[in-house]
Amino acid sequence: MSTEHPKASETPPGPSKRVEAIFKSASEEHKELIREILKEERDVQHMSRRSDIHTKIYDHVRRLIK
Amino acid sequence: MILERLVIRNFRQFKGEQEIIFSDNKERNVTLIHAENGFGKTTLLNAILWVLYGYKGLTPDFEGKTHLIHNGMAHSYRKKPNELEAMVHLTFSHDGARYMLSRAINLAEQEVDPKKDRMSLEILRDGQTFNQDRPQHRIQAIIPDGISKFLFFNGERIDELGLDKNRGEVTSAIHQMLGLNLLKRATEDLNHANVRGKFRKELADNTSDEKRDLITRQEELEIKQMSADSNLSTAREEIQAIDDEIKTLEAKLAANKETHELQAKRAQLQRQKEEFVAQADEVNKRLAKLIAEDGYTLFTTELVAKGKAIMEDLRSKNQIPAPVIDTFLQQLLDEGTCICERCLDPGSPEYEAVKKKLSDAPNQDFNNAVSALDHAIGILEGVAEATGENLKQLTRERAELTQRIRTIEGELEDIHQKVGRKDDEKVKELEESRRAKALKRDELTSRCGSLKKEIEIISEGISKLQSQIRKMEDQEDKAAQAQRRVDAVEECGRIVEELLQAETEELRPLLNNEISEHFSKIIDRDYRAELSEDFNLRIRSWVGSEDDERMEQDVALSTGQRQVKLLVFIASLLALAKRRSEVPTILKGTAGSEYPLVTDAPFGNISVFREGISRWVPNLAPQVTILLTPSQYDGDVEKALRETGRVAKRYYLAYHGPKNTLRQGANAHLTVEGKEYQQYFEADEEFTEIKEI
Repeated sequence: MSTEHPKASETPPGPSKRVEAIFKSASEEHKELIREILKEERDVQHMSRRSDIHTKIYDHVRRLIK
Repeated sequence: MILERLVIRNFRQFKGEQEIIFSDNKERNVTLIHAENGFGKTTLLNAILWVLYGYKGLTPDFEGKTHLIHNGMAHSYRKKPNELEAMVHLTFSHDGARYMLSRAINLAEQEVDPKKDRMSLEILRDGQTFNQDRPQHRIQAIIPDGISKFLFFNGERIDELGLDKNRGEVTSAIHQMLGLNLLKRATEDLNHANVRGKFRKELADNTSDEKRDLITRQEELEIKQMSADSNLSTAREEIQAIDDEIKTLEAKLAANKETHELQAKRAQLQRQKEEFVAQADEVNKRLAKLIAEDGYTLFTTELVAKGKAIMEDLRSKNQIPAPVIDTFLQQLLDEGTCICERCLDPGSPEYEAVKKKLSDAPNQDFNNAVSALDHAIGILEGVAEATGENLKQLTRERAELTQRIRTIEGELEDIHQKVGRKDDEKVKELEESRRAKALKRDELTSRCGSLKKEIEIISEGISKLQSQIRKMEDQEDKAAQAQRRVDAVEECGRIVEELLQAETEELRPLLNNEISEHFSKIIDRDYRAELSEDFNLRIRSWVGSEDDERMEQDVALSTGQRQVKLLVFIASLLALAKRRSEVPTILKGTAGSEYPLVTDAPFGNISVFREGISRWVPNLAPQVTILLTPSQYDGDVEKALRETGRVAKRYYLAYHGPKNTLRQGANAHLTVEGKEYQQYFEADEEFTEIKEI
């Protein structure tokens, strides 16, 4: 029986330094925009009709990027 | 999502109102439902699917989907169809709230359109109850139907999920359960014509002619890309449809006594071929990666030898490392004494001689560079050697797989010829039709390959244009603002895509470890699970002795092992999703979640592994409900489940039916934990009762 694998449960499946670094490297303006977009996406990610979310994203970009 | 209570009323054989309370205890998370085949296990599973997703959620093996109301009662109420309904109610907890979901259909509605039902959802949060206006929308947000087949399934059919053609569904389930779908959808939406395209149009309307041209070219390429993407997905759908048609034809050939054996052999060979092709595909990808990353080292042998010779030559002449460096000579001049004890007075011939040497002397950086060069030559030599070895091994693996595929193709061709020679006209017709469809499928598969290549080339072109457009500055305020918005959309799209890629790349090995750890415990062999970059799950093991050359190869799994592989994969995915839900994420909504596992007959084909599955799966998934027959709940399973200490609730299905309707092999009594329960009752009318043990 194999014993060479690291214990799966010992590694946290959370955001790694790499993921954090990617997000932190974004400008404040872009971070804000990404947060807003994901907030909108949360409830509609499974839906096939996308026109409403497109309008919302478009409006967020216009509001945040002057 | 943790299931709490299921109430069913007049749903198929479940006459009247009956309920199941699921165990929601984290340590004792298993609910067992014992039932003979034909007593209603599949119906119970489908009751859960129906309340969640309606008609379209019912499983393909659930027969008579258009008649959900208890047959006997439907007959009695045929003159007052509005007064009889089938109803399923499910209470579950999710994200700190309690959800009460109901779906119902009455006899009159069922006769008009069995797909149209009534659904309601109430949410109890912080002591207040809210009625959800769009219940299906909310359910889909909590538990998208894409992952339902990984959570509520028939264990005997789970093998199908492992097929190559279902890889997309596996990837999608991983994304959804681990919270990555949010990032995927956000990327798609940011890149959509309604968002990015609209901002580009605003930019083009306000910018220079030159930039406008580039934007137009970019848009043209994107249209081409979309069209190629759409063609690719159509071709894939056509392949799927042809596959289904071939399956139907093959089922007919398998049912024919003339061709039964040949078709069985063909099915076995096809499965083997599919596995070998997937393995060859993986080997090719590894080869491409190896050549792209380290292939150049194979052409450096001469260069390395030459570099080594030069270094040796300089070393033998004592020129490297430099015996005397500038700081040492400067120190002599500063101190005014040479190492030979002569005075180094400024202006003296000795002073001038040392000063001249100082101007040509190398510094410490030179010696550092010599060490770095030595090191680099060593590394290059090592990488070249390892690359050569890996290349040999992969080439050998590929050659072996190609040989195996060819042998199987030869055998398949033999079978085709033998079937085609049968005297039965019907058989000949079926075989010809099968052959024509297989040819069409091959043609489409090859078309998919060229479309993928085309998409790759277009993507490169788009990236180049994008970078050219960004470099061109705008003078007008409006144009500059439009450019900033285009940049923001493109940049955010890129960041979100990068986050998705990083999360996926980092979660994949975690899932690998999780699966490997549990798979090897159940199978009791030195196997390693490997989820490839495109989420193809393979099981690998080392072959060859220590003295001999050891190499890792894909393991050809038996049907039972494949079933174990998928069960462990699903349970491990649920375990990882649960752990991920417990750690903070950088972006809200990208965490995992808790999901229940409800499986009908999970021990169907896995014979010797039943004990391992019973022991480990309850440890992985947050909540497990198992529907099983008395024969599946044999000594090993019973013992293993008892030893886990995780079984909290038990039910059994009692069947009421006319005399002699008990299926052959089924017993009138059920024995659980040494106690006997009557599970068959003679009655005029057929119905099933849920009884708690």
